[in-house]
This record gives sequence, C-alpha cells and structure tokens, in this order.
Amino acid sequence: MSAPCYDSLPMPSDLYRSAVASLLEEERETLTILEAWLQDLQEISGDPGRGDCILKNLQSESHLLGDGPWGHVAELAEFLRQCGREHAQGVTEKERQLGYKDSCASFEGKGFKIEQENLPGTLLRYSRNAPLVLELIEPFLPDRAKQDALYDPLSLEDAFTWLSSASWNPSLIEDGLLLGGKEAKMVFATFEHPVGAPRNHAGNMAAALALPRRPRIEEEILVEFSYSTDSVSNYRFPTVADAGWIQEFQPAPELEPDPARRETCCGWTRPLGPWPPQPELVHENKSLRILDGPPRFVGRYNS
Amino acid sequence: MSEGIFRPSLRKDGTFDPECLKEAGQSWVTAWLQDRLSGYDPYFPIDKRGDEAPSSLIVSILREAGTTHPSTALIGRSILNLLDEARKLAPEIPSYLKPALEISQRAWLPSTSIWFTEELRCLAADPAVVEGRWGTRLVKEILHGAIRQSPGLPRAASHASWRAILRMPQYATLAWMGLARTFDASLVYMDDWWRACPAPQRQAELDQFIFTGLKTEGREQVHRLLIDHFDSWADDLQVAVDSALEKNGDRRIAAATAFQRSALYRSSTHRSAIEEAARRRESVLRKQRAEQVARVGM
Repeated sequence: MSAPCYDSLPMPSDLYRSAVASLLEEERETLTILEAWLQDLQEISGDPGRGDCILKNLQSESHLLGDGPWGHVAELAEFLRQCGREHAQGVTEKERQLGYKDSCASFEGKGFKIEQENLPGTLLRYSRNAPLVLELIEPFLPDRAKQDALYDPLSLEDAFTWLSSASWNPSLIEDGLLLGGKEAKMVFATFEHPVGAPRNHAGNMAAALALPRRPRIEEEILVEFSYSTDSVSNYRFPTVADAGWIQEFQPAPELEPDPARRETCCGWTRPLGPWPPQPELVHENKSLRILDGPPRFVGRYNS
Repeated sequence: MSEGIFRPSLRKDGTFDPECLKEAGQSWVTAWLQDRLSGYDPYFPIDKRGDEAPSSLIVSILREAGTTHPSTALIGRSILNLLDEARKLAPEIPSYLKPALEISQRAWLPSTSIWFTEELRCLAADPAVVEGRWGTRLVKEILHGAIRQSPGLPRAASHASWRAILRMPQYATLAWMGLARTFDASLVYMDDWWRACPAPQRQAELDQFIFTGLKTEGREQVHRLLIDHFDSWADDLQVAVDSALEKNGDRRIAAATAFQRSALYRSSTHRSAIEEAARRRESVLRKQRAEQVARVGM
C-alpha cells in the first residue's frame, strides 16, 4: 500500500468543475472574486505562495461529498457558495480571512466516509502541543515535575521517563482534555502502513506528515498518541475544509475508493522532504482518555 | 493589500524576527496576540493537523529576544492587557486566557508581575473568592505563572502571600516553588511545606525535589545542604528524605554515623573552600592584569 500518484492528476478536479457549473451566475462571480483574492493573498500573509497553494488545493478537492455518493456535487457546491458569500460580506482583510476560516469550520468532517474495515485497529495522532502534553501527563507526576519542565525544557524528557515507569491510568486524565483543541469538531490522524515512516525521528516524521515548517519554532516537540480505531467514530477523508488555512495539506486524488486498492481508501500527506507520504484521515474529536498507553515522546525538532 | 497595516516578517530560515515587532506598536501587538491566542492568526495560521499550541510561537520569540529586547516589553504589556481584560470578564473565561498563562509560565515578562502579585494577594486573603472567579484548575495555572513572574523572595511584595499559600494543602507545593527556586533556599521552607502538603502526594514531590537537586547541584552539594538541616526536621521528614535519596540511587543520611556525616560535610566544605580560594585568586590576578594594562596605556 503506497500513496497514489498525484502529479498526473487533472486540475481542477472533475468534482470542482461540476460544482462550479452547478452554481448560479452571480454565485460563480463571487467565487471568481474569491479565487482572485486567494491568488493575491501572498501579499498579505508575508508567506509567498500560501494563497496560491490554498487555491490549488481548493480546485483539486474531490472528496468533499458529505454523505452523498461518489461524484455528487451538492456538498462542495454548498461549500463554495458559502465561501463566496462570506467573502463578499467581508469589508476588511481580517473579515475576509475569517470568512474563509468560518466557512471551512462549517464544513469540517464533510469528507467522503471511510469504512472502518478499511482501517487498521490502531490509529496514531502526532501532536506538537507542549502545553497539552504537560497537562495530559500532569496527573501522573508530582507538581514539581511540571514546574521543572516549564523552567528547563529538557526536563520534559525526564517527565516522560517518570511517566513510562508510572502505572498508566487513563481515568486520571481530565475529561475536558481532547485529542484536538476544544473548538475542533474533527482531528487528523494517521496509521502504520507497509511503506513505513521515520517514527523515531521528530524532524523527519514532522516532514513526512507535512507539518508546517514556517514559522520555525525552536525546540518544538513531537509526541505520538495511540488509540484504538473503535474508540472513535465518523472516519472521513480529510478535505480543504478540515485543513482551513494550512497550505501544506494535500487533498486526496480524485479516485473512487476501492477496497481492493487500499491506497484509495484514505488521504495521503505531501511530505516536505524525501520521506514516504503518510496515510491521513479525520475523525471526531474525543477525550484523551481513549489513549491505549502513555504518549510516546518522539523527540524535538528545529533545534 | 488594501489596508496599510503592519505585517510581521520571517527570516530566511523561517524563524520570526523579533526586531520587526518594534515597528508594530502596542495596539497591533495586543490585537495580534488576542487573535492568535484565541486560535486565529492571519499571518501565521495555527496548524490544526499537528495541534500547534498558539502560545508556542510567542514563547519562541521571547526566548530568542531575551528579557531586555523592546519586543519582549511590547509582548509583556500586551499579555498584561489580556490578563486585565480576562479579570474583568471573570467568571467568563476568554479563550486567550489559558495560552496567555502558558506564555507567562515559560518566559519572564516583568510587566505582568503586578497582575500575578495581585492574584497571589487575593488567593492568600480568600481562596474561595479566587477559586470562584477562575476555578481550581485555572488557579493552579495562575500559580505556575506566578512562580516565574512574581517569585516570593524574602523582600518581594509577594513574599507574605506565598507564605500564606504555603499553608493551603492543595497549593502547598506550588507555594514552596514560589518561595524558592534553588535547592539551598528551598530547604528553608521544607519543614513548613511538609506539614501542609497532603500526605499521599508529599513523598513523590520530595522524590522529584531530590532528583532535580542531584541533577543540578551534584551529589556532594546536595548531601552537604541536607546535612545542614537534617537534624532540625521531624522524624517522618528525615525518613522521607532518606527514602528519596535511596530512590535516586544515593545513600541515606540517617544511616551515616556522626563521623561520616562530618567527613562528608568537611569534604564538600573543603572543596567549596578550595573553589572559593581559586575564585579569589583569579579575581586578584584579573585586577593586577587590568592595572598593568592601565599602566602600559599611560
């Protein structure tokens, strides 16, 4: 099982073309204005090419289908309609950017459904969120361990050593702590696959997962959460709506999922380096109490 | 770009340039931080896929800039504004509050000291009011921030508050850390802390304290400092200290004979004396060299 080839895929996708064709004349006009704005966005973001990437991803989208059948345009058309509408209502740049963000948030978790039988029994999620990780392990450690880690970042590694020797009891984890942020409806996840991944090297793994490199944050951590696939529900292809403003995201190629070709049954990352693409999906956000063991400290990168 | 607004910039290597914030102005920095810590950043979108913490970029900027950089002062004042605003909104908790506290826990922002000192004063006076305002979970986060921003050094405005909080079982360990960060200074408050801290937690806290001490101070120094105080402690604290030393692979103090203790004390004191003499000699030589240079210059 390896990632499908992306380079030869037509752009825009058939679904995007059909969705645009289904819009009313004035809806198409507002969409054209939105597309032009995205192309110019690099001037605002200070990050060359960001708007262009977001636009290309939007035009490549082929899995924003909601609960509709393969190739059904209604959901994507509605998303484009909302994006155009929000954009037209924005008076300032901030309002226009928030408009796109809010449109994406409304369509989170609307990717094509992934059947559970096409997924392995265990899912993995990689987090770079040091405060969340500290909060997660806090109940298992003395108060001093957290404070030591706040003062001396290297003490976080010590905390993990203590943690692995302590008995893991998920019921101690605060119920309000979630896999993703409190506002997130869906979270991204991956899983082990035959081609493999540089799972013991934080920098290489972050590159394989195409986690953003800019802005570069020194001494960033990477931690692996592992949990049973059964413990979460609503498995979906990740879409541009789930990714929001993250340009490193890669929409899945326009191939109808076929259980005989497992690589077509999930999304794939576009690695930022010579590492193999990683399978990618989104599912409901859930309490960290579902973890099947202590989080694994992969390491630090950008040091 | 239609609005002529300030735009932050990254260096070629992708790191944030703290210099650029000097042109931004206070209101821009406050608005940017309020948005970013609430989950929205138009310049550097927050990575949902990798669950980026909105506070991490700001901590990284502060660590690179250092305490005296003008950008640190700008960010510090903005964080103070957000904390003040959150206090007005309480018991409603704005989404930027927790990330703002995360920043305060990880970087020194002198201008926020006043806010944390006030929270400590309120907590010392009436914990129920403060817990009602923030909730106990957030009170602990505030205390973690106060340890960095408003430490209770003997002459500090926060000292008396920290002493009062040291008597509150649920916050005793945090207060112990608020009163002293070094191993040596912590021993002064250890007996009070031991009596206040809930029994099921205190051995683990002591183990961590000794573990960090051994790592930062070295074995001999830890032993010497512990011996200084050991006999003044209650029996159960002595047993707990020895247990912590044993768990960290070290020998117990109570088991040592008076002669061994004294030898150990002398050995480390002797070493300290030699080190002190070396420092004094280096200082005299430096002074002589400086005088020589001055003479040649004339």
